[in-house]
Amino acid sequence: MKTVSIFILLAVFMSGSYTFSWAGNKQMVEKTVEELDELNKEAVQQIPDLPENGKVDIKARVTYEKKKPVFNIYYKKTAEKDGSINFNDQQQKTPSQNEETIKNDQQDN
Amino acid sequence: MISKTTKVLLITITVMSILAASVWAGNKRIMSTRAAKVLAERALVESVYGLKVRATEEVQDMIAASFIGRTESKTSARISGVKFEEVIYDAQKDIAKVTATVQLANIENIDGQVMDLQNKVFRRVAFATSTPSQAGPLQALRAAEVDAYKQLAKRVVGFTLESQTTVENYILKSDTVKTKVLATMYLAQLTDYGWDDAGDAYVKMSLDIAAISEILGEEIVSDEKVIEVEGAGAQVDDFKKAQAQ
Repeated sequence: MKTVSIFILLAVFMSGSYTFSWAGNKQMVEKTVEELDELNKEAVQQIPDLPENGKVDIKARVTYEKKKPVFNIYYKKTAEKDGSINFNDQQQKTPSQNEETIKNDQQDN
Repeated sequence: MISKTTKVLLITITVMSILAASVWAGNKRIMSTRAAKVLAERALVESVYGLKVRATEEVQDMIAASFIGRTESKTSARISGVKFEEVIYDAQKDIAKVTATVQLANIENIDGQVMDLQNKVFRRVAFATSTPSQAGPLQALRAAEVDAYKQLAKRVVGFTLESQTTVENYILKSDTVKTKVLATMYLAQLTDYGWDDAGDAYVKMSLDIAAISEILGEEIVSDEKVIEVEGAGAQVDDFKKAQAQ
């Protein structure tokens, strides 16, 4: 019993050491990716005419106010999946597109 | 029994090897200390004169393995009057630590603006080694420093965000997200640095908006008095290993 306990303790310790030796930039990259995803979603949600289904391309200048990001979107392109329907030989849905470049002094540098 | 000649020979070899080792250590000490002094001077130039930071980040489908991040810093200036306050050398690790200071009445910064520094003392610390196996923690510290500069630039100047997003039943899915930052930074202060238990480095930096406003002699509009950031840097590139899998 004592031997088993020692073995378990040793195994726990070894697994801890293994994690310890694996610390590196992977965790940092994963955190950055998460932050980028959140930031992008926050920016896209600023668009008033967000389609229910479709694609949204944006370009924005991001600044900070009270430690929170402020988005100045100067380009947006939205394509709705459920757009006009062509009754030709093949019935298919074509996306309706809406492209807008908002003139702004703070555009890309 | 060992003959007298053999004994003399053994003693000579021992003495020679000890002498040779001490001579080698002396050279390493000088090289590491000199490198640390140069790095401390660079840190002062970055703090006082300023530096240019260019950074890009890109990720596709939010898969960490597709992440590409690059940060570059650049500076070039000559500052006279740098003093080395403290030089510590760890002979066992071959790591030199140098604290450098500079006191200037004024300086023309990286943007060509003349700043009235009011004889304020700027102090920076740098580490260096001439032994490659000991370089890991120091490289991680520099990576954390550059990361802190990037974060500071993002907070102060802002950055550009470009993205492609899919919307499905009003649920957002980021396809491609890119950020770009290009800025010049000066008067950033390093407030803290160190390494965590895993050996990853951190660098805390701050920018005192009120003090900079006074030094530049112009009002800076900001809702924060002091902007603080923390940069991170790793010793081990386990991300590349994960990418290869």
